[in-house]
Amino acid sequence: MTTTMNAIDVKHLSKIYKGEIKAVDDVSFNVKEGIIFGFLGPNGAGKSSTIKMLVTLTKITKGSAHIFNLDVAREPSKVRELIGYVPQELSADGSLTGYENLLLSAKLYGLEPEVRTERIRDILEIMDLTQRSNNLVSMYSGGMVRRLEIGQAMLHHPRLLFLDEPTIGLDPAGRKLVWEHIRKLNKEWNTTIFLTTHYMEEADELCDQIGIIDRGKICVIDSPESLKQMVGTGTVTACLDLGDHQKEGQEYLTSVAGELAVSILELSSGKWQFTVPDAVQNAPKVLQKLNEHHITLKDLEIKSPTLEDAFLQITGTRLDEGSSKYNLKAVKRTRRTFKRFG
Amino acid sequence: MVSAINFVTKTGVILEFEVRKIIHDPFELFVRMIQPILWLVVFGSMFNQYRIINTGNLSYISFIAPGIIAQSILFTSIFYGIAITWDKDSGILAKLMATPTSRGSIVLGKGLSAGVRGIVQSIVIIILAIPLGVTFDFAPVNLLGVAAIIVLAATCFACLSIVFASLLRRRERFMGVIQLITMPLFFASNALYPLEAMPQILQDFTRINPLFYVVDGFRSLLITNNWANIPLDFGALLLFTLFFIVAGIWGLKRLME
Repeated sequence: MTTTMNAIDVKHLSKIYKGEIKAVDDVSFNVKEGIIFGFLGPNGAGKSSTIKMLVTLTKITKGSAHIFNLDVAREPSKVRELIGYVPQELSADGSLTGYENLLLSAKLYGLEPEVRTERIRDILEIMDLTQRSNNLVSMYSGGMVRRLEIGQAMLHHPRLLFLDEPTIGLDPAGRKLVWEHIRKLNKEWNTTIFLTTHYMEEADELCDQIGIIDRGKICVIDSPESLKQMVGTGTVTACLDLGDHQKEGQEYLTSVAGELAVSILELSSGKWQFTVPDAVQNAPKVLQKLNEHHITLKDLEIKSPTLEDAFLQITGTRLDEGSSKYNLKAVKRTRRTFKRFG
Repeated sequence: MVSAINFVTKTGVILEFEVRKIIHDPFELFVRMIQPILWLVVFGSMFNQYRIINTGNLSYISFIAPGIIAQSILFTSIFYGIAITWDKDSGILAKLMATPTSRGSIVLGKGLSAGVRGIVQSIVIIILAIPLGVTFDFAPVNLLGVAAIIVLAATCFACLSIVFASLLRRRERFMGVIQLITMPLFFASNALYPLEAMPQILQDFTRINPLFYVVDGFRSLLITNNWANIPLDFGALLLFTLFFIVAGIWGLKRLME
Protein backbone atom coordinates (compact mmCIF):
# COMPACT_ATOMS: atom_id res chain seq x y z
CA MET A 1 0.00 0.00 0.00
CA THR A 2 1.55 3.25 -1.10
CA THR A 3 -1.08 5.67 0.09
CA THR A 4 -2.01 6.40 3.66
CA MET A 5 -4.88 8.73 2.92
CA ASN A 6 -7.85 8.57 5.25
CA ALA A 7 -10.95 7.18 3.57
CA ILE A 8 -13.00 8.15 6.61
CA ASP A 9 -12.18 10.75 9.23
CA VAL A 10 -14.70 11.18 12.03
CA LYS A 11 -14.37 13.64 14.89
CA HIS A 12 -16.62 13.85 17.95
CA LEU A 13 -19.56 12.47 16.01
CA SER A 14 -22.90 12.23 17.82
CA LYS A 15 -26.42 11.26 16.80
CA ILE A 16 -29.16 12.21 19.20
CA TYR A 17 -32.75 11.23 18.40
CA LYS A 18 -35.67 13.27 19.69
CA GLY A 19 -33.29 15.40 21.73
CA GLU A 20 -32.53 12.70 24.26
CA ILE A 21 -31.67 9.27 22.83
CA LYS A 22 -27.91 9.17 22.21
CA ALA A 23 -27.45 6.53 19.51
CA VAL A 24 -23.88 7.65 18.81
CA ASP A 25 -22.02 9.45 21.55
CA ASP A 26 -18.94 11.56 20.77
CA VAL A 27 -17.23 9.04 18.49
CA SER A 28 -13.87 9.74 16.81
CA PHE A 29 -11.96 7.42 14.47
CA ASN A 30 -10.36 7.22 11.07
CA VAL A 31 -10.14 4.51 8.44
CA LYS A 32 -7.12 4.29 6.15
CA GLU A 33 -7.70 3.82 2.44
CA GLY A 34 -7.56 0.23 1.16
CA ILE A 35 -8.40 -1.65 4.33
CA ILE A 36 -11.44 -3.57 5.56
CA PHE A 37 -12.64 -1.87 8.72
CA GLY A 38 -15.27 -3.51 10.91
CA PHE A 39 -17.55 -1.95 13.46
CA LEU A 40 -18.29 -4.72 15.95
CA GLY A 41 -20.98 -4.41 18.56
CA PRO A 42 -24.34 -5.68 19.72
CA ASN A 43 -27.56 -4.61 18.00
CA GLY A 44 -28.47 -1.12 19.14
CA ALA A 45 -24.83 -0.16 19.83
CA GLY A 46 -24.91 2.69 17.29
CA LYS A 47 -23.35 0.95 14.28
CA SER A 48 -26.15 1.60 11.80
CA SER A 49 -26.68 5.17 13.04
CA THR A 50 -22.99 5.90 12.37
CA ILE A 51 -23.19 4.39 8.89
CA LYS A 52 -26.37 6.34 8.09
CA MET A 53 -24.65 9.60 8.95
CA LEU A 54 -21.58 8.68 6.88
CA VAL A 55 -23.63 7.79 3.78
CA THR A 56 -25.55 11.10 4.07
CA LEU A 57 -28.91 9.53 4.95
CA THR A 58 -29.39 11.21 8.31
CA LYS A 59 -28.17 14.47 9.72
CA ILE A 60 -25.14 14.66 11.99
CA THR A 61 -26.29 16.03 15.36
CA LYS A 62 -22.81 17.02 16.56
CA GLY A 63 -19.23 16.66 15.36
CA SER A 64 -17.92 16.17 11.84
CA ALA A 65 -17.27 13.43 9.30
CA HIS A 66 -15.10 13.52 6.18
CA ILE A 67 -15.02 10.97 3.37
CA PHE A 68 -11.80 11.34 1.33
CA ASN A 69 -11.51 14.87 2.73
CA LEU A 70 -15.05 15.81 1.67
CA ASP A 71 -17.28 17.13 4.44
CA VAL A 72 -20.29 14.79 4.65
CA ALA A 73 -22.61 17.51 5.98
CA ARG A 74 -21.59 20.17 3.45
CA GLU A 75 -21.01 18.18 0.28
CA PRO A 76 -23.36 15.20 0.48
CA SER A 77 -23.82 14.91 -3.32
CA LYS A 78 -20.06 14.64 -3.95
CA VAL A 79 -19.73 12.11 -1.13
CA ARG A 80 -22.50 9.96 -2.67
CA GLU A 81 -20.55 9.74 -5.93
CA LEU A 82 -17.55 8.24 -4.13
CA ILE A 83 -19.32 5.64 -2.05
CA GLY A 84 -21.40 2.50 -2.38
CA TYR A 85 -23.85 1.48 0.32
CA VAL A 86 -25.61 -1.77 1.12
CA PRO A 87 -28.18 -1.39 3.92
CA GLN A 88 -28.84 -4.02 6.56
CA GLU A 89 -32.17 -5.07 5.04
CA LEU A 90 -32.33 -7.10 1.82
CA SER A 91 -32.86 -4.01 -0.26
CA ALA A 92 -32.79 -5.15 -3.88
CA ASP A 93 -36.18 -4.50 -5.43
CA GLY A 94 -38.12 -7.77 -5.57
CA SER A 95 -40.47 -6.41 -8.24
CA LEU A 96 -37.62 -5.97 -10.72
CA THR A 97 -35.24 -8.53 -12.25
CA GLY A 98 -31.63 -8.82 -11.12
CA TYR A 99 -30.51 -7.18 -14.37
CA GLU A 100 -33.00 -4.33 -13.91
CA ASN A 101 -31.80 -3.71 -10.36
CA LEU A 102 -28.27 -3.35 -11.70
CA LEU A 103 -29.44 -1.19 -14.61
CA LEU A 104 -31.28 1.11 -12.19
CA SER A 105 -28.14 1.61 -10.10
CA ALA A 106 -25.97 2.07 -13.20
CA LYS A 107 -28.28 4.80 -14.50
CA LEU A 108 -28.52 6.52 -11.12
CA TYR A 109 -24.72 6.55 -10.86
CA GLY A 110 -24.68 8.17 -14.31
CA LEU A 111 -22.74 5.47 -16.19
CA GLU A 112 -22.75 5.91 -19.96
CA PRO A 113 -24.69 3.25 -21.94
CA GLU A 114 -21.60 1.54 -23.41
CA VAL A 115 -19.84 1.46 -20.02
CA ARG A 116 -22.85 0.21 -18.11
CA THR A 117 -23.50 -2.76 -20.40
CA GLU A 118 -19.96 -3.96 -19.81
CA ARG A 119 -20.02 -3.26 -16.07
CA ILE A 120 -23.34 -5.03 -15.54
CA ARG A 121 -22.06 -8.07 -17.44
CA ASP A 122 -18.87 -8.12 -15.35
CA ILE A 123 -20.69 -7.68 -12.05
CA LEU A 124 -23.17 -10.46 -12.88
CA GLU A 125 -20.23 -12.73 -13.62
CA ILE A 126 -18.23 -11.77 -10.52
CA MET A 127 -21.25 -12.25 -8.28
CA ASP A 128 -22.24 -15.56 -9.96
CA LEU A 129 -25.63 -14.23 -11.00
CA THR A 130 -25.46 -14.33 -14.82
CA GLN A 131 -27.76 -17.36 -15.10
CA ARG A 132 -30.51 -15.77 -13.01
CA SER A 133 -30.18 -12.17 -14.15
CA ASN A 134 -33.54 -12.11 -15.93
CA ASN A 135 -35.51 -13.59 -13.02
CA LEU A 136 -37.42 -11.34 -10.67
CA VAL A 137 -35.40 -10.77 -7.49
CA SER A 138 -38.38 -12.02 -5.46
CA MET A 139 -37.32 -15.48 -6.71
CA TYR A 140 -33.74 -15.15 -5.37
CA SER A 141 -32.33 -16.70 -2.19
CA GLY A 142 -31.10 -14.40 0.59
CA GLY A 143 -27.46 -14.95 -0.37
CA MET A 144 -28.14 -14.16 -4.02
CA VAL A 145 -29.94 -10.94 -3.10
CA ARG A 146 -27.00 -9.93 -0.92
CA ARG A 147 -24.52 -10.55 -3.73
CA LEU A 148 -26.72 -8.61 -6.14
CA GLU A 149 -26.84 -5.68 -3.72
CA ILE A 150 -23.08 -5.62 -3.28
CA GLY A 151 -22.83 -5.74 -7.08
CA GLN A 152 -25.23 -2.80 -7.35
CA ALA A 153 -23.13 -0.80 -4.92
CA MET A 154 -19.93 -1.63 -6.84
CA LEU A 155 -21.08 -0.79 -10.37
CA HIS A 156 -19.55 2.69 -10.36
CA HIS A 157 -16.31 1.38 -8.80
CA PRO A 158 -16.65 3.39 -5.58
CA ARG A 159 -13.53 4.09 -3.56
CA LEU A 160 -15.37 3.26 -0.36
CA LEU A 161 -18.05 0.61 0.21
CA PHE A 162 -20.33 0.64 3.27
CA LEU A 163 -21.86 -2.70 4.22
CA ASP A 164 -24.32 -2.68 7.10
CA GLU A 165 -24.48 -6.20 8.58
CA PRO A 166 -23.71 -7.82 5.19
CA THR A 167 -24.43 -11.40 6.22
CA ILE A 168 -27.29 -11.03 8.71
CA GLY A 169 -29.80 -13.82 8.20
CA LEU A 170 -27.68 -15.81 5.73
CA ASP A 171 -26.87 -19.50 6.10
CA PRO A 172 -23.19 -20.45 6.64
CA ALA A 173 -22.61 -21.28 2.96
CA GLY A 174 -24.17 -18.00 1.82
CA ARG A 175 -22.12 -16.12 4.40
CA LYS A 176 -18.82 -17.66 3.24
CA LEU A 177 -19.60 -16.77 -0.38
CA VAL A 178 -20.34 -13.15 0.55
CA TRP A 179 -17.07 -12.99 2.53
CA GLU A 180 -15.17 -14.25 -0.51
CA HIS A 181 -16.65 -11.51 -2.67
CA ILE A 182 -15.93 -8.79 -0.10
CA ARG A 183 -12.28 -9.91 0.08
CA LYS A 184 -12.04 -10.01 -3.69
CA LEU A 185 -13.36 -6.45 -4.08
CA ASN A 186 -10.93 -5.22 -1.45
CA LYS A 187 -7.89 -6.96 -2.93
CA GLU A 188 -8.54 -6.67 -6.66
CA TRP A 189 -10.19 -3.24 -6.84
CA ASN A 190 -8.49 -1.74 -3.78
CA THR A 191 -11.91 -0.72 -2.46
CA THR A 192 -11.88 0.45 1.13
CA ILE A 193 -14.61 -1.42 2.98
CA PHE A 194 -16.41 -0.25 6.10
CA LEU A 195 -18.70 -2.91 7.50
CA THR A 196 -20.71 -3.37 10.63
CA THR A 197 -21.34 -6.73 12.17
CA HIS A 198 -22.33 -8.39 15.39
CA TYR A 199 -20.77 -11.68 14.31
CA MET A 200 -17.38 -12.23 15.95
CA GLU A 201 -16.13 -14.66 13.34
CA GLU A 202 -17.05 -12.26 10.56
CA ALA A 203 -15.01 -9.46 12.08
CA ASP A 204 -12.13 -11.87 12.78
CA GLU A 205 -12.20 -13.40 9.31
CA LEU A 206 -12.54 -10.26 7.22
CA CYS A 207 -11.30 -7.16 8.97
CA ASP A 208 -7.85 -5.59 9.04
CA GLN A 209 -9.04 -3.30 11.82
CA ILE A 210 -11.90 -3.55 14.25
CA GLY A 211 -13.64 -0.86 16.24
CA ILE A 212 -15.60 -2.24 19.16
CA ILE A 213 -18.67 -0.09 19.79
CA ASP A 214 -21.03 -0.41 22.69
CA ARG A 215 -23.85 1.88 23.84
CA GLY A 216 -22.91 4.55 21.32
CA LYS A 217 -19.24 4.76 22.29
CA ILE A 218 -16.13 3.26 20.73
CA CYS A 219 -14.31 1.16 23.34
CA VAL A 220 -11.21 0.28 21.32
CA ILE A 221 -9.87 0.19 17.75
CA ASP A 222 -7.18 -2.32 16.79
CA SER A 223 -6.38 -5.28 14.58
CA PRO A 224 -8.09 -8.60 15.44
CA GLU A 225 -4.68 -10.09 16.35
CA SER A 226 -3.82 -7.27 18.75
CA LEU A 227 -7.25 -7.43 20.33
CA LYS A 228 -6.80 -11.13 20.96
CA GLN A 229 -3.28 -10.60 22.32
CA MET A 230 -4.74 -8.01 24.65
CA VAL A 231 -6.63 -10.84 26.36
CA GLY A 232 -3.34 -12.71 26.49
CA THR A 233 -4.52 -16.01 27.96
CA GLY A 234 -6.23 -19.07 26.69
CA THR A 235 -8.66 -21.37 28.36
CA VAL A 236 -7.77 -24.93 29.27
CA THR A 237 -10.44 -27.41 30.21
CA ALA A 238 -9.11 -30.64 31.69
CA CYS A 239 -11.22 -33.60 32.74
CA LEU A 240 -9.32 -35.39 35.48
CA ASP A 241 -9.59 -38.76 37.11
CA LEU A 242 -9.28 -38.05 40.81
CA GLY A 243 -10.45 -41.56 41.72
CA ASP A 244 -11.46 -41.89 45.35
CA HIS A 245 -9.47 -38.83 46.32
CA GLN A 246 -11.82 -36.08 45.12
CA LYS A 247 -11.35 -33.83 48.12
CA GLU A 248 -7.58 -34.19 48.37
CA GLY A 249 -7.25 -33.78 44.63
CA GLN A 250 -9.21 -30.55 44.65
CA GLU A 251 -7.21 -29.22 47.58
CA TYR A 252 -4.01 -30.02 45.74
CA LEU A 253 -5.16 -28.29 42.55
CA THR A 254 -6.12 -25.18 44.50
CA SER A 255 -2.78 -25.15 46.26
CA VAL A 256 -0.70 -25.41 43.06
CA ALA A 257 -2.71 -22.80 41.16
CA GLY A 258 -0.52 -19.95 42.41
CA GLU A 259 2.72 -21.79 41.75
CA LEU A 260 1.71 -22.62 38.16
CA ALA A 261 0.35 -19.08 37.48
CA VAL A 262 -3.09 -20.38 36.50
CA SER A 263 -6.44 -18.80 37.35
CA ILE A 264 -9.14 -21.31 38.14
CA LEU A 265 -12.45 -20.74 36.33
CA GLU A 266 -14.21 -23.88 37.47
CA LEU A 267 -13.26 -26.68 39.80
CA SER A 268 -15.80 -29.45 40.26
CA SER A 269 -15.64 -33.20 40.56
CA GLY A 270 -13.44 -34.40 37.74
CA LYS A 271 -13.44 -31.12 35.79
CA TRP A 272 -10.83 -28.42 36.07
CA GLN A 273 -11.12 -25.33 33.90
CA PHE A 274 -8.44 -22.68 34.13
CA THR A 275 -6.73 -19.93 32.20
CA VAL A 276 -3.00 -19.71 31.82
CA PRO A 277 -0.92 -17.08 30.03
CA ASP A 278 0.04 -18.30 26.55
CA ALA A 279 -2.08 -21.41 26.96
CA VAL A 280 -0.63 -23.40 24.06
CA GLN A 281 2.92 -23.09 25.47
CA ASN A 282 2.22 -23.39 29.19
CA ALA A 283 -0.65 -25.86 29.48
CA PRO A 284 1.61 -28.91 28.89
CA LYS A 285 3.84 -27.79 31.80
CA VAL A 286 0.82 -27.72 34.09
CA LEU A 287 -0.28 -31.14 32.95
CA GLN A 288 3.23 -32.50 33.46
CA LYS A 289 2.98 -31.38 37.08
CA LEU A 290 -0.35 -33.20 37.47
CA ASN A 291 1.17 -36.30 35.95
CA GLU A 292 3.98 -36.17 38.51
CA HIS A 293 1.31 -36.13 41.18
CA HIS A 294 -0.37 -39.19 39.60
CA ILE A 295 -3.52 -37.31 38.59
CA THR A 296 -4.72 -38.98 35.39
CA LEU A 297 -6.06 -36.91 32.52
CA LYS A 298 -9.27 -38.14 30.79
CA ASP A 299 -9.87 -35.32 28.33
CA LEU A 300 -8.25 -32.03 27.42
CA GLU A 301 -9.28 -28.93 25.48
CA ILE A 302 -7.02 -25.93 24.87
CA LYS A 303 -8.69 -22.85 23.42
CA SER A 304 -6.62 -19.92 22.14
CA PRO A 305 -7.92 -16.44 22.98
CA THR A 306 -10.80 -15.41 20.68
CA LEU A 307 -12.22 -12.08 19.69
CA GLU A 308 -15.16 -12.97 21.89
CA ASP A 309 -12.82 -13.13 24.91
CA ALA A 310 -11.45 -9.72 23.91
CA PHE A 311 -14.96 -8.33 23.54
CA LEU A 312 -15.93 -9.72 26.91
CA GLN A 313 -12.88 -8.20 28.57
CA ILE A 314 -13.29 -4.81 26.87
CA THR A 315 -17.03 -4.28 27.24
CA GLY A 316 -17.69 -6.47 30.28
CA THR A 317 -20.56 -8.20 28.45
CA ARG A 318 -20.92 -10.99 25.96
CA LEU A 319 -22.02 -9.89 22.50
CA ASP A 320 -25.36 -11.65 22.80
CA GLU A 321 -26.10 -10.25 26.27
CA GLY A 322 -27.94 -7.02 26.84
CA SER A 323 -29.06 -6.88 23.27
CA SER A 324 -31.90 -9.36 23.35
CA LYS A 325 -34.58 -6.73 22.89
CA TYR A 326 -32.73 -5.30 19.89
CA ASN A 327 -32.12 -8.81 18.59
CA LEU A 328 -35.82 -9.53 18.61
CA LYS A 329 -36.44 -6.42 16.54
CA ALA A 330 -33.63 -7.29 14.12
CA VAL A 331 -34.74 -10.89 13.75
CA LYS A 332 -38.35 -9.83 13.11
CA ARG A 333 -37.20 -7.35 10.50
CA THR A 334 -34.95 -9.90 8.79
CA ARG A 335 -37.69 -12.52 8.82
CA ARG A 336 -40.10 -10.02 7.29
CA THR A 337 -37.63 -9.22 4.56
CA PHE A 338 -36.94 -12.87 3.86
CA LYS A 339 -40.67 -13.59 3.76
CA ARG A 340 -40.98 -10.91 1.13
CA PHE A 341 -38.26 -12.52 -0.94
CA GLY A 342 -39.91 -15.92 -0.62
CA MET B 1 -27.68 23.84 -16.38
CA VAL B 2 -25.81 20.58 -15.80
CA SER B 3 -27.68 20.00 -12.57
CA ALA B 4 -31.02 20.72 -14.30
CA ILE B 5 -30.25 18.10 -16.97
CA ASN B 6 -29.13 15.73 -14.24
CA PHE B 7 -32.38 16.35 -12.33
CA VAL B 8 -34.54 15.61 -15.38
CA THR B 9 -32.49 12.51 -16.31
CA LYS B 10 -32.65 11.02 -12.80
CA THR B 11 -36.36 11.79 -12.52
CA GLY B 12 -36.81 9.92 -15.80
CA VAL B 13 -34.83 6.95 -14.44
CA ILE B 14 -36.96 6.73 -11.30
CA LEU B 15 -40.11 6.98 -13.45
CA GLU B 16 -38.84 4.34 -15.90
CA PHE B 17 -38.26 1.75 -13.20
CA GLU B 18 -41.57 2.46 -11.45
CA VAL B 19 -43.28 1.82 -14.79
CA ARG B 20 -41.27 -1.39 -15.25
CA LYS B 21 -42.63 -2.55 -11.89
CA ILE B 22 -46.20 -1.91 -13.04
CA ILE B 23 -45.52 -3.88 -16.24
CA HIS B 24 -44.06 -6.82 -14.26
CA ASP B 25 -47.10 -6.95 -11.99
CA PRO B 26 -50.17 -5.06 -13.25
CA PHE B 27 -52.48 -6.87 -10.79
CA GLU B 28 -52.84 -3.93 -8.40
CA LEU B 29 -53.48 -1.53 -11.27
CA PHE B 30 -56.42 -3.62 -12.44
CA VAL B 31 -57.78 -4.31 -8.96
CA ARG B 32 -57.83 -0.59 -8.22
CA MET B 33 -59.97 -0.06 -11.31
CA ILE B 34 -62.81 -2.17 -9.99
CA GLN B 35 -64.09 0.39 -7.49
CA PRO B 36 -64.41 3.32 -9.93
CA ILE B 37 -65.99 1.03 -12.49
CA LEU B 38 -68.62 0.03 -9.92
CA TRP B 39 -69.28 3.70 -9.12
CA LEU B 40 -69.79 4.40 -12.80
CA VAL B 41 -71.71 1.31 -13.82
CA VAL B 42 -73.87 0.76 -10.71
CA PHE B 43 -74.16 4.12 -8.96
CA GLY B 44 -73.96 6.25 -12.11
CA SER B 45 -76.40 4.20 -14.17
CA MET B 46 -78.94 4.03 -11.32
CA PHE B 47 -78.90 7.77 -10.60
CA ASN B 48 -78.95 8.44 -14.34
CA GLN B 49 -82.10 6.41 -14.73
CA TYR B 50 -84.06 8.09 -11.94
CA ARG B 51 -82.58 11.61 -12.44
CA ILE B 52 -82.38 12.12 -8.67
CA ILE B 53 -79.74 14.84 -8.93
CA ASN B 54 -80.33 17.87 -11.10
CA THR B 55 -77.37 18.24 -13.43
CA GLY B 56 -78.94 20.69 -15.85
CA ASN B 57 -78.49 19.91 -19.53
CA LEU B 58 -76.12 17.04 -18.86
CA SER B 59 -77.24 13.47 -18.24
CA TYR B 60 -76.14 12.29 -14.80
CA ILE B 61 -73.84 9.63 -16.28
CA SER B 62 -72.10 12.30 -18.38
CA PHE B 63 -71.84 14.52 -15.32
CA ILE B 64 -70.39 11.82 -13.07
CA ALA B 65 -67.91 10.25 -15.57
CA PRO B 66 -65.20 12.97 -15.11
CA GLY B 67 -65.77 12.75 -11.36
CA ILE B 68 -65.16 9.00 -11.42
CA ILE B 69 -61.95 9.43 -13.43
CA ALA B 70 -60.77 11.94 -10.82
CA GLN B 71 -61.81 9.60 -8.02
CA SER B 72 -59.86 6.68 -9.49
CA ILE B 73 -56.72 8.86 -9.66
CA LEU B 74 -57.22 10.07 -6.09
CA PHE B 75 -57.87 6.61 -4.65
CA THR B 76 -54.80 5.12 -6.36
CA SER B 77 -52.32 7.93 -5.80
CA ILE B 78 -53.25 8.65 -2.19
CA PHE B 79 -52.00 5.19 -1.18
CA TYR B 80 -48.56 5.81 -2.69
CA GLY B 81 -47.21 6.53 0.78
CA ILE B 82 -47.67 2.85 1.63
CA ALA B 83 -45.18 1.90 -1.09
CA ILE B 84 -42.76 4.53 0.22
CA THR B 85 -43.13 3.21 3.78
CA TRP B 86 -42.47 -0.29 2.48
CA ASP B 87 -39.43 0.93 0.53
CA LYS B 88 -38.20 2.59 3.70
CA ASP B 89 -38.68 -0.52 5.86
CA SER B 90 -37.03 -2.78 3.29
CA GLY B 91 -33.98 -0.53 2.79
CA ILE B 92 -34.78 0.21 -0.88
CA LEU B 93 -35.28 3.89 -0.11
CA ALA B 94 -32.07 4.14 1.93
CA LYS B 95 -30.08 2.63 -0.91
CA LEU B 96 -31.75 4.93 -3.42
CA MET B 97 -31.04 7.99 -1.30
CA ALA B 98 -27.38 7.05 -0.89
CA THR B 99 -26.90 7.26 -4.68
CA PRO B 100 -26.15 10.63 -6.30
CA THR B 101 -29.85 11.24 -6.97
CA SER B 102 -31.56 14.36 -5.66
CA ARG B 103 -34.49 13.94 -3.29
CA GLY B 104 -36.55 15.99 -5.72
CA SER B 105 -35.94 13.46 -8.52
CA ILE B 106 -37.01 10.59 -6.28
CA VAL B 107 -40.25 12.30 -5.20
CA LEU B 108 -41.11 13.60 -8.66
CA GLY B 109 -40.23 10.33 -10.41
CA LYS B 110 -42.47 8.35 -8.09
CA GLY B 111 -45.22 10.98 -8.36
CA LEU B 112 -45.11 10.92 -12.15
CA SER B 113 -45.39 7.14 -12.14
CA ALA B 114 -48.70 7.59 -10.32
CA GLY B 115 -49.62 9.72 -13.34
CA VAL B 116 -48.86 6.79 -15.67
CA ARG B 117 -51.21 4.59 -13.64
CA GLY B 118 -53.78 7.39 -13.75
CA ILE B 119 -53.62 7.60 -17.55
CA VAL B 120 -54.14 3.83 -17.95
CA GLN B 121 -57.08 3.85 -15.51
CA SER B 122 -58.65 6.88 -17.17
CA ILE B 123 -58.50 5.27 -20.61
CA VAL B 124 -60.28 2.17 -19.27
CA ILE B 125 -63.00 4.26 -17.57
CA ILE B 126 -63.54 6.36 -20.70
CA ILE B 127 -63.87 3.23 -22.86
CA LEU B 128 -66.40 1.76 -20.42
CA ALA B 129 -68.37 5.01 -20.14
CA ILE B 130 -69.02 5.31 -23.89
CA PRO B 131 -71.53 2.40 -24.10
CA LEU B 132 -73.25 3.82 -21.00
CA GLY B 133 -74.18 6.88 -23.03
CA VAL B 134 -71.42 9.36 -22.21
CA THR B 135 -70.32 11.56 -25.11
CA PHE B 136 -66.71 12.68 -24.80
CA ASP B 137 -64.94 15.44 -26.66
CA PHE B 138 -61.87 13.77 -28.14
CA ALA B 139 -60.26 16.86 -29.69
CA PRO B 140 -56.47 16.28 -29.47
CA VAL B 141 -55.85 19.50 -27.55
CA ASN B 142 -58.56 18.55 -25.03
CA LEU B 143 -57.04 15.09 -24.58
CA LEU B 144 -53.63 16.64 -24.09
CA GLY B 145 -55.08 18.90 -21.41
CA VAL B 146 -56.76 15.92 -19.73
CA ALA B 147 -53.47 13.98 -19.75
CA ALA B 148 -51.72 16.96 -18.15
CA ILE B 149 -54.38 17.20 -15.43
CA ILE B 150 -54.11 13.45 -14.76
CA VAL B 151 -50.33 13.68 -14.32
CA LEU B 152 -50.55 16.82 -12.15
CA ALA B 153 -53.34 15.37 -9.99
CA ALA B 154 -51.65 11.99 -9.52
CA THR B 155 -48.35 13.66 -8.63
CA CYS B 156 -50.14 16.01 -6.23
CA PHE B 157 -51.96 13.23 -4.35
CA ALA B 158 -48.95 10.88 -4.38
CA CYS B 159 -46.79 13.61 -2.81
CA LEU B 160 -49.52 14.41 -0.27
CA SER B 161 -49.46 10.71 0.57
CA ILE B 162 -45.68 10.77 1.08
CA VAL B 163 -46.14 13.64 3.54
CA PHE B 164 -48.70 11.62 5.50
CA ALA B 165 -46.43 8.55 5.41
CA SER B 166 -43.57 10.57 6.89
CA LEU B 167 -45.80 12.02 9.62
CA LEU B 168 -47.53 8.76 10.56
CA ARG B 169 -44.67 6.31 9.89
CA ARG B 170 -46.61 3.14 10.78
CA ARG B 171 -48.61 1.52 7.99
CA GLU B 172 -51.64 0.82 10.20
CA ARG B 173 -51.93 4.46 11.20
CA PHE B 174 -51.38 5.56 7.64
CA MET B 175 -54.18 3.37 6.30
CA GLY B 176 -56.60 4.65 8.94
CA VAL B 177 -55.86 8.32 8.37
CA ILE B 178 -55.82 8.07 4.58
CA GLN B 179 -59.21 6.38 4.55
CA LEU B 180 -60.42 9.14 6.84
CA ILE B 181 -59.36 11.93 4.48
CA THR B 182 -60.15 10.45 1.05
CA MET B 183 -63.91 10.34 1.50
CA PRO B 184 -64.25 14.00 2.64
CA LEU B 185 -62.02 15.02 -0.29
CA PHE B 186 -64.25 13.05 -2.64
CA PHE B 187 -67.59 14.15 -1.21
CA ALA B 188 -66.52 17.79 -0.81
CA SER B 189 -65.80 18.06 -4.52
CA ASN B 190 -68.07 18.38 -7.51
CA ALA B 191 -67.49 14.75 -8.54
CA LEU B 192 -70.94 13.36 -7.68
CA TYR B 193 -73.15 16.47 -7.61
CA PRO B 194 -72.99 20.08 -8.80
CA LEU B 195 -71.46 22.72 -6.56
CA GLU B 196 -74.87 24.42 -6.11
CA ALA B 197 -76.31 21.28 -4.52
CA MET B 198 -73.89 21.55 -1.57
CA PRO B 199 -74.35 23.58 1.62
CA GLN B 200 -72.39 26.86 1.62
CA ILE B 201 -69.74 25.58 4.03
CA LEU B 202 -68.90 22.66 1.70
CA GLN B 203 -68.89 24.99 -1.29
CA ASP B 204 -66.27 27.11 0.50
CA PHE B 205 -64.23 24.01 1.32
CA THR B 206 -64.11 22.91 -2.31
CA ARG B 207 -61.94 25.97 -3.05
CA ILE B 208 -59.09 24.43 -1.05
CA ASN B 209 -59.75 20.91 -2.29
CA PRO B 210 -57.46 20.05 -5.22
CA LEU B 211 -59.91 17.37 -6.37
CA PHE B 212 -62.45 20.11 -7.18
CA TYR B 213 -60.13 21.64 -9.79
CA VAL B 214 -59.31 18.20 -11.21
CA VAL B 215 -62.99 17.30 -11.70
CA ASP B 216 -63.83 20.74 -13.07
CA GLY B 217 -60.93 20.53 -15.52
CA PHE B 218 -61.93 17.05 -16.72
CA ARG B 219 -65.58 18.04 -17.11
CA SER B 220 -64.71 21.20 -19.02
CA LEU B 221 -62.33 19.42 -21.40
CA LEU B 222 -64.00 16.04 -21.85
CA ILE B 223 -67.72 16.83 -21.68
CA THR B 224 -68.73 20.50 -22.00
CA ASN B 225 -65.72 21.82 -23.97
CA ASN B 226 -66.08 25.03 -21.97
CA TRP B 227 -62.64 26.58 -21.47
CA ALA B 228 -63.70 29.45 -19.19
CA ASN B 229 -62.43 27.85 -15.99
CA ILE B 230 -59.44 26.03 -17.48
CA PRO B 231 -56.79 28.66 -16.54
CA LEU B 232 -58.05 28.68 -12.94
CA ASP B 233 -58.24 24.88 -12.78
CA PHE B 234 -54.72 24.46 -14.17
CA GLY B 235 -53.27 27.31 -12.11
CA ALA B 236 -54.73 26.07 -8.83
CA LEU B 237 -53.77 22.45 -9.51
CA LEU B 238 -50.23 23.44 -10.47
CA LEU B 239 -49.84 25.40 -7.22
CA PHE B 240 -51.18 22.50 -5.13
CA THR B 241 -48.87 20.08 -6.94
CA LEU B 242 -45.76 22.22 -6.53
CA PHE B 243 -46.57 22.74 -2.87
CA PHE B 244 -46.98 19.02 -2.24
CA ILE B 245 -43.82 18.15 -4.22
CA VAL B 246 -41.83 20.44 -1.90
CA ALA B 247 -43.66 19.01 1.11
CA GLY B 248 -43.00 15.48 -0.24
CA ILE B 249 -39.25 16.17 -0.43
CA TRP B 250 -39.40 17.35 3.18
CA GLY B 251 -41.38 14.21 4.05
CA LEU B 252 -38.87 11.92 2.34
CA LYS B 253 -35.97 13.41 4.32
CA ARG B 254 -38.03 13.19 7.51
CA LEU B 255 -38.83 9.55 6.83
CA MET B 256 -35.11 8.71 6.82
CA GLU B 257 -34.38 10.38 10.16
